[in-house]
Amino acid sequence: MLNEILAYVSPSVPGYFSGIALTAALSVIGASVGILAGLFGVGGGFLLVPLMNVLLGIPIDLAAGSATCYIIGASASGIVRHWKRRNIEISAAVLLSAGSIFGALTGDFLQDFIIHTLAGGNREMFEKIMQGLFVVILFVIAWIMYKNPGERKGGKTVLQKLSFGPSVTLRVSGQEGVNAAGLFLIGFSGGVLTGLMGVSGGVLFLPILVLGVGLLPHLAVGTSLTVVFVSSLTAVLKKGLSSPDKVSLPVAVSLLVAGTIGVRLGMIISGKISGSALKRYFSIIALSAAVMVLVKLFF
Amino acid sequence: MIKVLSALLLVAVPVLIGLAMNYLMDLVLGILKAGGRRKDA
Repeated sequence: MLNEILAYVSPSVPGYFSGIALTAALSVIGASVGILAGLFGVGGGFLLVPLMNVLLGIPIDLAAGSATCYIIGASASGIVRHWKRRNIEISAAVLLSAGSIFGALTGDFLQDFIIHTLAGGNREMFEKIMQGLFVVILFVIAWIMYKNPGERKGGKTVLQKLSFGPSVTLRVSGQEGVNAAGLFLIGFSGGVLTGLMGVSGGVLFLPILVLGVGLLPHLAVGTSLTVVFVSSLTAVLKKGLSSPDKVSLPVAVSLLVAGTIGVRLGMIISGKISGSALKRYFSIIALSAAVMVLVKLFF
Repeated sequence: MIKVLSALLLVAVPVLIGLAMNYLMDLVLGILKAGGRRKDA
């Protein structure tokens, strides 16, 4: 039985590399993305899937599933740190997480819909559609990092202006009358990204949580990590229960071990290089990744 | 049954590795910092 379980969680990984060469290549990618993540204060999940797909030739759905599995481990350690410092806005985290559970399930269903219905079972077409989605996401991330949205300037947030349905109070951030359905929808959108593309979407959601919801920046990071953990956990459970070809545990473990070391190295380096303009350089990296996927898409 | 256990393994292993690696990195960085301070003194 153990052998069957191990075979289930370790599907064969098609691509340009196999065996030790694949582990080494994944470790290099994991460490590099980890360093960038630690340096720029982002999750970096949105770089993992395109890099695994374009540079290693791993099918995009397997790359996305394995990256989601990696995100579980990466966010778990972050949650412990933020929980100890009370950096999680519980009421917002509960509503966002509830939305993210439905979103993650929808995202995985959407991935199946694209493979079987939209692409008619044609894997090449499916890869092209997903690569196109990644180009869009990477351009949006590059734009957000370039604009580098700052802190909120006071007044009512977008979610406080919505008058329909029930509202909640965010005690630690001191925000009253925050629309509950809005929080649920934000969580839902993040979950869809995780279930469909294997990205946590933290870069996209941090500005939304700070500017749109009104969370204090340090609370936004802890709360976002909690939501990312819940959505990736849901997505991996759903993928694991539906098919053995969607998640590879050895791939996720290789990324995680090297990625954790990389994140710490990146954090040490970022402590020595100061300046808020640093984040803008990250937009160049996201832009380069978008161009790389675009080249793969057309050539 | 195998599917359920496999799915649980897929979420439990990354959580454990994530926490263990985090603890290990704290330990290594702590030792390196302590070594650096001793050298300065």
